[in-house]
Amino acid sequence: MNKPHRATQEDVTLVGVGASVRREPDDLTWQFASWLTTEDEFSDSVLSSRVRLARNIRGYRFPHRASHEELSAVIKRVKNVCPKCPSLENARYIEIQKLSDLECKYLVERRQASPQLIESDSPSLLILSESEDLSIMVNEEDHLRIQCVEAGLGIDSAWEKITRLDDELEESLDVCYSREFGYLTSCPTNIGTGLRVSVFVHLPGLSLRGKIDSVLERLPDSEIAIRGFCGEGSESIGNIYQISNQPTLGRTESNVISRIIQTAKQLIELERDARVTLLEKSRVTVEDAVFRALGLLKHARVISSFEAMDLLSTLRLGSELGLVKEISRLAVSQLIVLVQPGHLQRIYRKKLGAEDRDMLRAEFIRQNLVV
Amino acid sequence: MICQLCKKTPASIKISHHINNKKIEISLCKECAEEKSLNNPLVTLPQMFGNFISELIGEDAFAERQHNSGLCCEACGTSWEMFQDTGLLGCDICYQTFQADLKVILRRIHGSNQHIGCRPKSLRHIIDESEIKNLNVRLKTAIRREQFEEAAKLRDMIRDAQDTTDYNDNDGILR
Repeated sequence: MNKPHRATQEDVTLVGVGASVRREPDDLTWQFASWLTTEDEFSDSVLSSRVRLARNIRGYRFPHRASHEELSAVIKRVKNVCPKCPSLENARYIEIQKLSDLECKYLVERRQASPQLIESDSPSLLILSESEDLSIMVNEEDHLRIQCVEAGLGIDSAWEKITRLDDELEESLDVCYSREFGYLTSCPTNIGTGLRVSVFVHLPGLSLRGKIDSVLERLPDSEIAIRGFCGEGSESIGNIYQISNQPTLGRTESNVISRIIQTAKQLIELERDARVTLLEKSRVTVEDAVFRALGLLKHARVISSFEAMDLLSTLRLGSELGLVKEISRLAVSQLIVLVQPGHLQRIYRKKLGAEDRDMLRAEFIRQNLVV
Repeated sequence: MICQLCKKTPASIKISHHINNKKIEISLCKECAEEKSLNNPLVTLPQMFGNFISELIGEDAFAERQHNSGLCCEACGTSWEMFQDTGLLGCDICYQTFQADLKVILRRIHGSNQHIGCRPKSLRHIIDESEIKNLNVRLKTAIRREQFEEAAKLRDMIRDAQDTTDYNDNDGILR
């Protein structure tokens, strides 16, 4: 049996969670990401937002066609330029090829690296800003994938930060750009602005009301895509959906941003209405779902990541509706990230098989839901 | 349904993608989903598995462009066939090499083939032709309204803009 994870003086207590996670001096990250520790007025239905820009440096082939030497030269160039950018003061430079599988997984869950970046055998780099909001993936599908993650519907703030960094980089880097096609990218689906804006919405109310499919199928803006997860039937896992813009050419950045915000706000409104209706018309059903979830989370001995996601989603709704008062919404949002396989193995500081992971996940949740 | 990634284990998770009132689904087993971190709804998913481009624009878009067969980018060696297979171009010069056909493909993907967004910082002072046209319209209006101070300002802006549009060489790619 594993020793319970107990707090010590050296431990860093997570804001809002009873959990304590040891911080190591050589840790990949040295504090909790700002998107994980803050909330805004839309956090009832939005977990976080992300803005990314795709850029390539002139004079080098795009990563999938470039030689090992070319990719190393791109990294050298970027490493030379980034320290001059004020936005990247105290940033960390992480060479992906030097990381263990576990560290890679952790970075993906942390949303700093993409699955594609960590799978690559060729030279690639991750640059992480001090507060973990800004990051640059070097040599992913494009030479530079600059991204900014913010809590709630913080798209405007993310755009402001990312465009400042983009300008700082362009002071010293010659990027691939054409008057006709805009910023040139490996894949023509990203050309033009190179901008992808994503919002991660939490829609348990619409799901419980059985309205989710009809809402998603009739999303009013045809240029916005929505992605979600379903289980074996068609039930959603975790009720978290990602909405993002599709076209990147022939639209201005401000047009894309305002359309995403508008769609997100429409979904937020529908979700809020659904929650009110649920409390009015089916209070017992909601309470039952919430307290069953709480019961399982507090007492289960084995929980898979999918089950955890689902139960925590319901608990988050319960906390939001004021049914569960002792656990904050933010704490539940943080747990959704902390119980992912990579995070869990990092917290317990060992590589774990699927079965052990499921056991320790249950244990970790139990310890953190003790009031 | 068998997992679309390992093609062995029965699928237990579906990732659904709604776009343009269409629903595309990818079915995965739990192991593959965990392995690829696709079990985490906060991870940004790859566009799609396989060649998303042909799915997006239809195979026929490539079939109609067989005249490109054998055409290769001189700068990076990427051929039209390689683009067709991977959906990826090899370098900035590819956009010149395949320009005519890319314009058709870009229109299918984005509904447009002309960039109207931000420019690199070094080019922001340059005003392009459509903006010059717009300035000319404003100049005429100002003259008609006898707003001569405004007209003089606009005339100077147009003159400066015309001086700086010389950079626009035929291929449209800056070098």
